[in-house]
Amino acid sequence: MKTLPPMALALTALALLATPAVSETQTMVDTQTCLSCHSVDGVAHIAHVPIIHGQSETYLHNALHAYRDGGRSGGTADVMQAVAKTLTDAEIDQLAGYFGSDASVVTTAPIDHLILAATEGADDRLVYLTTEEGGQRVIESQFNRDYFKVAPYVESEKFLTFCSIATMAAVLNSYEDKVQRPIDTARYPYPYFTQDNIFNADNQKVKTFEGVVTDGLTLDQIGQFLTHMNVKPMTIFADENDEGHMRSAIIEGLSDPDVRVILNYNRGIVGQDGSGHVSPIAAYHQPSDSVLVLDVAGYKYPPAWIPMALLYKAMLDKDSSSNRSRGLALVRTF
Amino acid sequence: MHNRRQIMAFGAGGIALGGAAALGLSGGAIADGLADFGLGGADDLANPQQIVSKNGLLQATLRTRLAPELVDDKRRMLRRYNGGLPGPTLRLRPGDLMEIQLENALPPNAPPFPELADLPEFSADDICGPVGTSHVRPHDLNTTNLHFHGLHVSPKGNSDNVFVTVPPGEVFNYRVQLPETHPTGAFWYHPHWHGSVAAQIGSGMAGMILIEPEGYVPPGLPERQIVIQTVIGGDAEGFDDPQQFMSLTAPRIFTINGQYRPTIRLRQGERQFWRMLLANDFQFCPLDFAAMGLKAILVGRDGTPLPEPKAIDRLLLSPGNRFDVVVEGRDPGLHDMVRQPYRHGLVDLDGRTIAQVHVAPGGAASDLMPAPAATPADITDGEIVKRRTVVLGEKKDDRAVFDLAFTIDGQSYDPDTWHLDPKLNTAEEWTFVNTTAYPHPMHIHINPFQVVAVNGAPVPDRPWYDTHIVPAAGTLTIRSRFEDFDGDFVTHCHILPHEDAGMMMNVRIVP
Repeated sequence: MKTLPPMALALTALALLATPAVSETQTMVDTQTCLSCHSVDGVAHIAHVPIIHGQSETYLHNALHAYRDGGRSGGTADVMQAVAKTLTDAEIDQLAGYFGSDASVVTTAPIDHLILAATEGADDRLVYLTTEEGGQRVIESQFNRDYFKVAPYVESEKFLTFCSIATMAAVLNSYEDKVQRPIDTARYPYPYFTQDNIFNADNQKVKTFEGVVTDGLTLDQIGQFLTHMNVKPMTIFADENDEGHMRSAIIEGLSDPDVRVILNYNRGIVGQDGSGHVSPIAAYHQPSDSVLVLDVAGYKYPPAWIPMALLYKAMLDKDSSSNRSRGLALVRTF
Repeated sequence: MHNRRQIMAFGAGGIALGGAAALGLSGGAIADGLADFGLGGADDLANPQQIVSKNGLLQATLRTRLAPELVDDKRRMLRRYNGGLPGPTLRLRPGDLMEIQLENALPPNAPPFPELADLPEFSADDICGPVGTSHVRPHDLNTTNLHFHGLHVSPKGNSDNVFVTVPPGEVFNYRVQLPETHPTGAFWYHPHWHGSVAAQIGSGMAGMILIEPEGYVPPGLPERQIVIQTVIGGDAEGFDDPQQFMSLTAPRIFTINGQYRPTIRLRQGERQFWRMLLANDFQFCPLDFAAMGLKAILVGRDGTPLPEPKAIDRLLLSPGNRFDVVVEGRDPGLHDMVRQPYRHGLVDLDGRTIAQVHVAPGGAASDLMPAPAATPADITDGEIVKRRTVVLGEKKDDRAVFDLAFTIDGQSYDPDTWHLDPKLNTAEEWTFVNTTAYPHPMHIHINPFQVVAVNGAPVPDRPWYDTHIVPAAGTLTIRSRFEDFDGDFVTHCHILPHEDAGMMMNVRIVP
């Protein structure tokens, strides 16, 4: 064999050694791979893919294990299942730790997309409360009492999956002295429902805090939680009732000072980013046949007036956790 | 060690392209039928040149050449069949035999590494073959072959065999027998040599195939072939630079039947039968017929007729898709045909005017439609003998352009992997799972498939396609019957830079 110039040798060696070999000790997973779908800049670019920066470490850890073990599958969950199957336990810990920490939070996320949603509507079928039309509907509405009762107590969900918990806290606080509030050590001596003390001993038997962090509550489980909170819940599933009946149930609930209305729907169907969601209903506007939903993910969207026909479709959506449709929970004080 | 494809290179059928090789078309070329309607003239879009089968036989020579051509306002380097952009349209009847002599008159391949050009000891095989570099990056851009996209024919021997290699200066004789039961619709031919596909289709190599029984298009219904190509408009130096043609945002020039921003004419109320083909390498092409002043009735997708014609306003053309559409002039005036804005994963592609549609007032209304044609029976749950998951991915690979290789089931294309092995005359359900942030239009050779679900949501009418998008970070569930033909072929992403970067996998139909 002839002597080769150094350049040729280098290229040959490179080519022969180019088979990719991941070292056994290398556990660093490229977080950029996750972010290519889950948003590098804090803005959701792919409609059904959630932003994971700064989510709960426990949630991310449990979710990745559930994907890998097949507990979450079907539809777009198959995508994360395929990804999670390539991860070791250590890599899952590492990714959950990273995205569960402040280190992952993008501080440069543009906020104009939110402002846009608030002023123009993420979807032109919805009217946001923050627009002139949205405010006017509250004033015109004959069924707006719950808005003034519940809105002061709405706080944003503390985890992506805590919409039902944040909703229950707001609704229960809205009863003021009619329902005895628990003492929360952080707010002593003022009693108050928080997204932590909703988890009393009975409720933790239905589902633990960690369990709810992982995949939230179904409509049926919301009903079970409420039975342990000194109120009387009634769940109404959309697949057992037509649109007219669901509308009547909402109006009757809003008309009764002792009743609050909790909505379980698929927000993707009404044109917003996301899927299964829970929030209180605060008003009904007859001329536009629309319902005001006090979104407990206020960091995403302000409250929105949603046309009843569209909302009914969003309630008919099947919750994959329960294999049942979504619907309403009417809460009544004794 | 040579791979399988390279061994086939010099197998039966390959003969050297001598200086005296026959040139030009071999019979059957006919005039554009649009002329009968006063269409396709100097100020109207003309159909491509056409070669028609006679007495059950279509014989043609397709000669590939590389030459500068005027595309928009300047000359660009293009690879073309028989000097056309696109190549000639081939028109056949079910049951016909197609004999095509492919003459590769492209120039010799550039050396894989210019640094080694003076070292005869090294060939491309020494550097690329054994370690698989050739499967994740473009190479040998003037080596070619033919694929008959969408045809339901044998994948073996001299038929739709994409493992054939035809190097520059060589000739290969294809002999493709259509079954009597072949579906009616629009198909196409293009090169499919793994490593040069993106460069060759991206520089112009494609042509339409129409298969239909006699009397399918009624007299009085003008038929337009609309072959949309997106040739890359680099200058001579940038030409064939993988950094350019492997990129989504390369300067691509949309042409229709080779014309840049042509005018398409019809009269109000008049119907025309549009055979639409997106014969390109990368970008999707959503179209809005209502915005073009047209009423549109879809009759076929990817060479499979719909059970019933269906009124539509919009179509998403993925690279490789064909749609047979009856259009009717609705709003008089001059309307832009716009490739609608499209979100390609994380990249927003702007709308782009690719033609103008002129609807002249005062035409005669026509209710003409092509003749009804058979749709395959739905693939039932009971027919499914196997369900598979096929995972699409990407990985860092410093052998690939932009250090990014694409994968199927965790690996870039490997000629020795054969785990997709359905049995002949059975049906299977496959779910493509896309773990990347980009859409991938997946194509399966030889048999069409029925789309069952997208992102887990059932698709009620279960349309038939042979190329369909798997959404970014989403899933596509399809069913296919592996009928009539056993043998080896491939499934791959029809974004051809992804295919050349590894997103392809062998399929073997086991007898």
